[in-house]
Amino acid sequence: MKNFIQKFQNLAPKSKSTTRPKNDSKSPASTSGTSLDTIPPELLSNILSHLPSKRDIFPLLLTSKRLYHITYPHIWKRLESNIHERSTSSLSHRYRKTGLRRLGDDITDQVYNLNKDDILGFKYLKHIVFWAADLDAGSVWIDSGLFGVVCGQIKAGRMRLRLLEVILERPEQVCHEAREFLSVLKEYSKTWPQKLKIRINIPWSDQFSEFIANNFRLEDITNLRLRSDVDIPSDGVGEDVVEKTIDNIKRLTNLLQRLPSLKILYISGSENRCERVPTLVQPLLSELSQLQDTILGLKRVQSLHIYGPLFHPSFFVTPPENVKKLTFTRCFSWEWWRQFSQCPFSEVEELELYVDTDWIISEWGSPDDIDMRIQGQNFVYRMEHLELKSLKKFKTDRWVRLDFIPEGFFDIVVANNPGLDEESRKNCEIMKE
Amino acid sequence: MSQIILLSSDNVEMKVDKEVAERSILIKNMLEDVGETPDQAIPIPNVNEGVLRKVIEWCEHHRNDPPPPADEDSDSRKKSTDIEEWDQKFMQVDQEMLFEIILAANYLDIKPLLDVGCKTVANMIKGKSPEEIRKTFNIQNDFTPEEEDQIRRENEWAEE
Repeated sequence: MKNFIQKFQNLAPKSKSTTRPKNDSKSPASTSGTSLDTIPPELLSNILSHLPSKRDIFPLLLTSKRLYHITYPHIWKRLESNIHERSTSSLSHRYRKTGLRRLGDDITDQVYNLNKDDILGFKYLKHIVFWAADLDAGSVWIDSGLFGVVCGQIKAGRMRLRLLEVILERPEQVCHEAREFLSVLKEYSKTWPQKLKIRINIPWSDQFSEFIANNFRLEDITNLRLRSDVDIPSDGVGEDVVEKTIDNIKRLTNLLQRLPSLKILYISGSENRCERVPTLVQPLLSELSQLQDTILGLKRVQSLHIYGPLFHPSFFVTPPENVKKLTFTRCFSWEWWRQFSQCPFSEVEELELYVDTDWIISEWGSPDDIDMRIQGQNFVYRMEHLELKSLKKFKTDRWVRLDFIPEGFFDIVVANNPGLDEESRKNCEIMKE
Repeated sequence: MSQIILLSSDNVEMKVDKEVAERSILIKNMLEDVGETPDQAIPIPNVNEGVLRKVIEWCEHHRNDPPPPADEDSDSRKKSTDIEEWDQKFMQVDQEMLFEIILAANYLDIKPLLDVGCKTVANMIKGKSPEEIRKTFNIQNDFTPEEEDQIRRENEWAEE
């Protein structure tokens, strides 16, 4: 026991500087003790991490020398254009005195009384966010010359990013300077001791996979959000649509096979007439089964969101073994539920199921599937074997058609998952009524 | 329910449920290392009676909370300044106590309490001018007017 107490007394505090200041007084009214000006830098950094806006951090620079030195790196931690700089109206930003344009102008005008080799706080820059407009010709990043500056800093080994977020609209229009930056980053980041993480948000197009493969180190991509901006025109469904869809499935499968670090995956489909026509879906099936296998092989993915319908209403994705959070939106058909009821869910802790209220539920797989109108009220899937047992959270929106939900579904979710939290249980109760 | 005794830096003993004390990862790890429930008081050399009582009060109220998500990537770990109501009231203390709680939470490794404390301070900073911040936290301005000017000019771009 003595050893234990001694061990405890000798224990080093987590932060070396947490010992109280010498002039500490027992009186609670004292203002000479611990304060914002004396707490250890790492705790002040924690405080600053709750102030995401530079506008809130900026005044701290001017309070005292000590606070200036601790705060300065936080001003630089993350660069993102502001909303005015991303707007198409050039007038709105031309006269603004702050933001990236101002930073670029200041660098050009040499406002800074510094050695040119060590420009400002770029060495503290760890996180860049590119909005689609930032990558177009004439964006603030180009006008300000900042693409060139950051390339120079990376090449000189003074800047090592930890996180890059890219939100794309038209990959084919990304300008030369932005591609140059991405290629410098790709080249240099592979030697950095701390791995770069890349999050990409990109729409479906003929180019999405090619653009990603050409401009990023695929090993660095941890988040992929593949969204659908436009619906495929509903008239003129024919073989070209089938072909196009097959190409898209192939592209996606091929890309996913090359993303070993992927942790968060979101795939959104759009309504596509061919998914409602059995003869058009048939040719997709072998490609889709390859895509399913590929997704199942993504061992590092922890969060998976399928926003359907993806290619056809019954396309069900079995979550890979390490998925903790699973979300399905609009992926519901009778056949979908059949697969859901038999799916091995392994370790899923959070499940969210959503149906848009204006979404017509597909009859795919129901006994009446030749007749596309909604029927089959008495059609029930057996949920007794549902393997969903590790849930802690479960969420749904208000279902459009409760008769569509397999009978007893909510009861089984509650009975099977003793770890479910209070809120989720309440949700199930409400849904049952 | 097994209990343990904590000893504050000013030698006051406090009996707490083991489960409550284990909100502190420091204490939890120590108890796991030892493998038995100690019958002697465990000294907490960096934390005085008043602060330790506050920290225990917080741990009592949050004894059944799920562990915070460890993954830095997960979106659930919000960097917002939202604080739940009970915690807001709990943090209505004088400033020295507030910073003492933050230091104690850091030392004892109670991450959620540390975050609540830091968020409270962040809220006190939000929307204030440099002069107001100095006044709020009793900070001495040690800049010359020229230095202040230079800093303002060099960082104005960041004043979004």
